[in-house]
Amino acid sequence: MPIKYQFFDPADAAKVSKLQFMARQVVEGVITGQHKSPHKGFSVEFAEHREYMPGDEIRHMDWRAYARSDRYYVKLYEQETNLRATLVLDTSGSMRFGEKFDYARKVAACLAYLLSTQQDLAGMSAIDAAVRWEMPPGSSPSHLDRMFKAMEALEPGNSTDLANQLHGLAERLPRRSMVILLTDLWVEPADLVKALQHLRYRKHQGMVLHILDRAEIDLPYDRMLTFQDLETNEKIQVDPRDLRDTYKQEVEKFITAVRKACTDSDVEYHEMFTDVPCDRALVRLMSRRS
Amino acid sequence: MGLTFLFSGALLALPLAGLPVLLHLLYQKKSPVVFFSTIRFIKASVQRTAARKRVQKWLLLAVRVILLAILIAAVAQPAKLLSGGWAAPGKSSIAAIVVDTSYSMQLLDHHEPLLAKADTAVRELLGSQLANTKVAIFRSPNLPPGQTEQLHAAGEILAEWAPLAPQANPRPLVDRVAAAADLLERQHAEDKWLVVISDFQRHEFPGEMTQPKGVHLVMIDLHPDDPRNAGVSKVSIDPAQPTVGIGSEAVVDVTGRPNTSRAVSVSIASVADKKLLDGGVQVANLDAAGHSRLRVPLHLPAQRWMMLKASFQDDDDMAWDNTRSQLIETPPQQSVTFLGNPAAGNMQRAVWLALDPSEGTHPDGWSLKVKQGKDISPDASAAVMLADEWPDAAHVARLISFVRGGGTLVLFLRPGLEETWPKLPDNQKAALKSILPSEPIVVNVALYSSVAVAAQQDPLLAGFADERFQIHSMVVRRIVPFSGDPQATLLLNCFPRDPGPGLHSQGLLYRKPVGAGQVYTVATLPGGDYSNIATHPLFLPLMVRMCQRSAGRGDAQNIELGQSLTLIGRQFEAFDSMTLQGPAGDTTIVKASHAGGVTQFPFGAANAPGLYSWLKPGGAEPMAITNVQLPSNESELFYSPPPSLVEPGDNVMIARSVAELHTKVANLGEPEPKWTMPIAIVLLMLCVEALMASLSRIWKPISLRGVLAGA
Repeated sequence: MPIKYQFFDPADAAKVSKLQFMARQVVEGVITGQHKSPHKGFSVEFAEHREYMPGDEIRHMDWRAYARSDRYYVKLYEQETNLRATLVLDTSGSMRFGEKFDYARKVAACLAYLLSTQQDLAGMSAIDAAVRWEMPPGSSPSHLDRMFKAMEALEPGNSTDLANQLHGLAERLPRRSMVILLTDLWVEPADLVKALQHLRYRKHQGMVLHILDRAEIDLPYDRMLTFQDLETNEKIQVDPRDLRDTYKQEVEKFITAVRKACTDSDVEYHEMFTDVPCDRALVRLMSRRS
Repeated sequence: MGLTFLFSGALLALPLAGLPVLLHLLYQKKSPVVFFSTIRFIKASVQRTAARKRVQKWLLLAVRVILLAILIAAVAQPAKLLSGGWAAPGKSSIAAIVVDTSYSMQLLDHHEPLLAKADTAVRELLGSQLANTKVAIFRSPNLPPGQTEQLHAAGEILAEWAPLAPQANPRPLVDRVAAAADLLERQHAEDKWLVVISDFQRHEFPGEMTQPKGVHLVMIDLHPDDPRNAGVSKVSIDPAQPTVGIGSEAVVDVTGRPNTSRAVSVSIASVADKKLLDGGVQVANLDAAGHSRLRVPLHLPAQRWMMLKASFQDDDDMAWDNTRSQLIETPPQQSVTFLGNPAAGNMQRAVWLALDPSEGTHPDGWSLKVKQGKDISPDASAAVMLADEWPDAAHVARLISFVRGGGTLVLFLRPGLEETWPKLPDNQKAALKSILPSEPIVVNVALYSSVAVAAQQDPLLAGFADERFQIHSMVVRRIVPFSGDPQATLLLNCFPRDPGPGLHSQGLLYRKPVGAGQVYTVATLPGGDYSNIATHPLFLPLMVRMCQRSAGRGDAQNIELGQSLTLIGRQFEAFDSMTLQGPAGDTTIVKASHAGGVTQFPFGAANAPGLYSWLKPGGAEPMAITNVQLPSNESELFYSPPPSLVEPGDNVMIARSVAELHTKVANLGEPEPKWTMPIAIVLLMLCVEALMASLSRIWKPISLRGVLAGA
């Protein structure tokens, strides 16, 4: 009997399995895979010539070039590597709103499964005010099994310190990793910019999946309410009808700022609304990346 | 004016106006909690809209509270209330009553004169509402300049009250209203009342009234709903100086209800009211403006003083203007000597008949008493002579003597005499020149000449330019031309019908004053060989006028009540005083006064209509008569409704009768609601909507706004 996971349905992953989760840029991999490596090596596909240096293997020497130029050159080839991705799951209190956290877990599980099926490595890090749980990249079924079970055990916390945790992650992860951030991003755009730039500085490829509930955008309430912040527990009594337009403008301004921060930092940004089925959201994500 | 509520119990519900506030507080405390991912944007939005929303919220709340309060007030039926009625106890109040005593107030309304109603109204006001008030009654239009009515206790006024009598008022009533308002404004009192009792005729209120400040204006409009009627507003004779025996016209102006008809009889009576002539009955058809003019032909009898009367055949609600009269003076019968022989020829006879058409059979019915003779009779005031040849010097001397003594000579000259003029002795020429316009001359004269009036304004020719006299059909064939420098007044001219070289217009009739008398020279003869004037319609009246004493001495006056009664005339300069006999036979000695070289006898304003006779001291025959009539403008009833005279307002109250005024005052104590049901319903709907909007914060009923918007 197959194992059933709360947040992962192989059928969802199957819908996107035909797509290649291609890194948009060359990353380092631990195994030779489908991803180009910045390390020129001695593989199959020729890249360029380099002057022979002591220590180079004689078998890579290009004798034809020696015959023409009377110099020693060795052939360099493009090296295909494995993608090493780390799924960063935001477990702050704000993720408790609606079905955001479940949705984020579901997306994360699907992505992990997808990466493993194409021989890439998928790790995970759950962060809020601190690192709640971390798992190094791997691709074996047992690795995924452990990852999914750990995710099921996660609960959103109260406060968040996403920016600082991203700084830490940028330092901890091996260079040229892919960092997939699943979060609602309720942080200051300026702090986010610095964290993303840190990731880029460390040559990581970043991808932000902005998990949003429609209610956070539209404020669809028609009576006087007391709103309580899920992270700070702060309360405010307002009539949403009175400030809906202003609220929408504020949120739109924030999302625009976040998107700009990602773009400026060369980090992919994708909005994912919880009312869109997970498989459809993933197909759309893959379509945009391919 | 104050405010009261007819259903004050509804005010107990006034605390309900606080319902929106209560709901506001309730829903503020009971709003459910929603856990939200972050409230940072909500807080930012609140900060952005906080000020505006706070104002809107409280404004909306205030509006809802006010709406509810108004609804409750509407249910309570607010109404205006005259605080304390007319004269509230403990408040100092004064009043001025302006009562219209003009003759238009003689109009009957349900068989009672308006003036009597006004009298009753004043006494009722003084005895009831204004009993404790100091009141000034403005009833007399004839206060001396600078004087005004004074405030007295109402009781004192009532004790000395004399019934109102009609008075002529040369000034409109609005002037008295202004004087009363001025009196009130100068006084210090908490309540000031100005009561105007009138029939509000247009001539009394020619324009809008000025609303006095701080004064309650009460207008009691006594104008009947269906006023009569018509009145004879003016009677006159045309021409203004009629001649006995010569046709005249009575001109009667009738004013009244437009598009109606009234039968008018015209008659001539003596000053002793003896009927002399019946002019018959004519129908006056009043036009859309309410005016009609009748012209009734008359042949005046030979009386010096006559009363031309025009009367309606039937009575109406205002009797005094159903008859109107005009005093007419005709010159007394003159004695005329005809220096000719009527049997001597057609020309002589034509002149004789012009002077006395009845040939002496009706001596009393003609203004001239004609005698025939070779010499002028001693009692003659005029003489008529047809000169076939130049009279000799002795005859001329007698004529000159007669004229210088005040006589009038009418001299006809045979054309052709001018040719014999140069042959006359100088003394005869000199004598003749003193009565002739100038020297006769020999010039070419047209074969036919037409006649035209040369002195349009001369009293002798007054009215003769009228078409009925056909002066253009008078033809002169031959004429005695006079030199171009006549010393006399040229009255009639004749000019060639066929202009030719050397032909000029020539004088036909001249008047030359000689001593105390005058000479009329006719430069042709009334014979067919010379002219057609003997058979012309103008001949007879012209002859009569020339032989009569000059008109326009002004011994007959027609004035209206209230106007000054003064005798002026050179013929009275010899007297130091005159006796004025009034209509009731009372006599007053009026002393002469001399101002600006003019002698006059001022009596003052006539205060009763009728005939006032001016007698010389010791005399019995009137030297002049003044006919004092009631004011004609009072018979022209054109109504100016009080609402058109004043701006409506809290300080203005208009009643059609005293009873209505009492009712209105009583209604002020029991005021009428000022909120109508539709307004209350609209307010109710607004309140329901406001409440529903407030409740929608707690649950969500169907919003009226939404329903309306959807509709």
